[in-house]
Amino acid sequence: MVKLQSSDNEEFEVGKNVAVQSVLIKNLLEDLGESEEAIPLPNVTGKVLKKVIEYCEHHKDDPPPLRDDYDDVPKRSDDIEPWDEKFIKVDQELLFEILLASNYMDIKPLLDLGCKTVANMIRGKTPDEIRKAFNIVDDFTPEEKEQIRKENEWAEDR
Amino acid sequence: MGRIYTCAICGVCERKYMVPPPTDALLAAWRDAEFLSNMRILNLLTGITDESERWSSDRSTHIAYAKSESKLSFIGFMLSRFQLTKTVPRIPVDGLLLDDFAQYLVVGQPAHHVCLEILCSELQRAQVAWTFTGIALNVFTRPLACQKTVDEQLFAERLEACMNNGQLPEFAELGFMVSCPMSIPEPPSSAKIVGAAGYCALAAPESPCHQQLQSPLLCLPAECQVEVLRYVDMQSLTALRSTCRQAVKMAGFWRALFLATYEWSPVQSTDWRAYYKTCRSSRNNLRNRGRIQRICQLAVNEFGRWDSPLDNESAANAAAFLRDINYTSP
Repeated sequence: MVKLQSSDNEEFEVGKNVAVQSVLIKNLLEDLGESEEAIPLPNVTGKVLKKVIEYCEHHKDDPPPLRDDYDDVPKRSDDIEPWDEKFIKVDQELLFEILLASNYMDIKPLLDLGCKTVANMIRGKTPDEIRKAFNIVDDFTPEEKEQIRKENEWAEDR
Repeated sequence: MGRIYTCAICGVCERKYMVPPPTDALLAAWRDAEFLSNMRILNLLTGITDESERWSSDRSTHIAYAKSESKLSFIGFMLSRFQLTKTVPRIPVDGLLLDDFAQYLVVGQPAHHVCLEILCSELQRAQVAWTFTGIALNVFTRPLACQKTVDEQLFAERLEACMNNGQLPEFAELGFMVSCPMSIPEPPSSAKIVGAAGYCALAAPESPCHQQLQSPLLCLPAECQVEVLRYVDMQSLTALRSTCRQAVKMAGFWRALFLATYEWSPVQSTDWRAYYKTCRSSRNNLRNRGRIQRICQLAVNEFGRWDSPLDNESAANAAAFLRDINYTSP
């Protein structure tokens, strides 16, 4: 078993096969050896770590993620599995916290899931809708808007 | 009205969409040898600088020099704010590029962000080895061009003449200065492989302006932004672009937009129509335009009547590019 400690000092005990889905933890265990002491995760709160562990528990038997050999491939975001889709249905604040935690803990499948979900939130929206969804302030002048509209024409006549 | 800049890549003069001039703070940083001490950047003549080499700069001209015993050492990116573009080559080319080694592209001239993005994409896509020879001469060369050498004497004479005359060299003539894979450098200690995309534009750090700090999307770390944008389709990216000024500054934005316009696959099935349209709309012209025009003339007949003249140099470059990387029509 491996102990993990969140930034707010909450401790979680998880199986090693669960913990090592995080490359960060896997490397720590390899470098430092297993210990009774909890591994501190100062960038992850207990609430988020609980979710991350839930994800890792569910996927503990999954094969290790493949390396991206061709990163220039635009990726699909519509292939989220039902369990994952349900898991990631959280409020936006938690979603971004999970995304940041997965990035910090280096859990590629969870990072992908978070990124796909954010991308799906952008997909199909108008600029106004995107602004509203992500709290973006419209700072363009009318002239700049017109310029961008002209530059975006090419995308409209496909 | 701001100053007009000439893009080092496409040659278009304009005020917008360009890397801005260096700030005082940035200039001060450039003058600070410590700032450069962890970087090993191409010396046009001698290749990658050794760790033992140290940078110094001329305060009046903002030209940096790397000391070297045998050859004239010179690097000319100090006239303007420079960009470092870090990539992790994924596919070895003739054993010259290896995984896990960062390579740096140094652009010493103002350049359109999008031009830089397209250039990088093109290099990656075509698996062209990043040779200072090829790029400095502003041509796309075949991978084996790594083994060619520049006319060092000619370059040295030109540069020395400029320096002796107290004149600033015409950096535009030099084009790009790119890390030379002729010898494989150790990654600098400061190197950080960013994201799975292996790409990060290391311009002076820019954080979202104050009013955008509340946006969780715009405040994501660069590597996460790159990842998110890779899943966003073209129409949504163009919509995102229209939301605020900060959107296009998201890491990997232009790259994602560029890649989203055609379906990546082996070169033979590239969607040239989309490729053409993207490049054209991305203010890409002159050298790139010539190359693209030539590609389109060969690959997509319907675009063969683009009415802009193709100068001899561009035509030659385009033809060489096509020949060397063995493009075929879809």
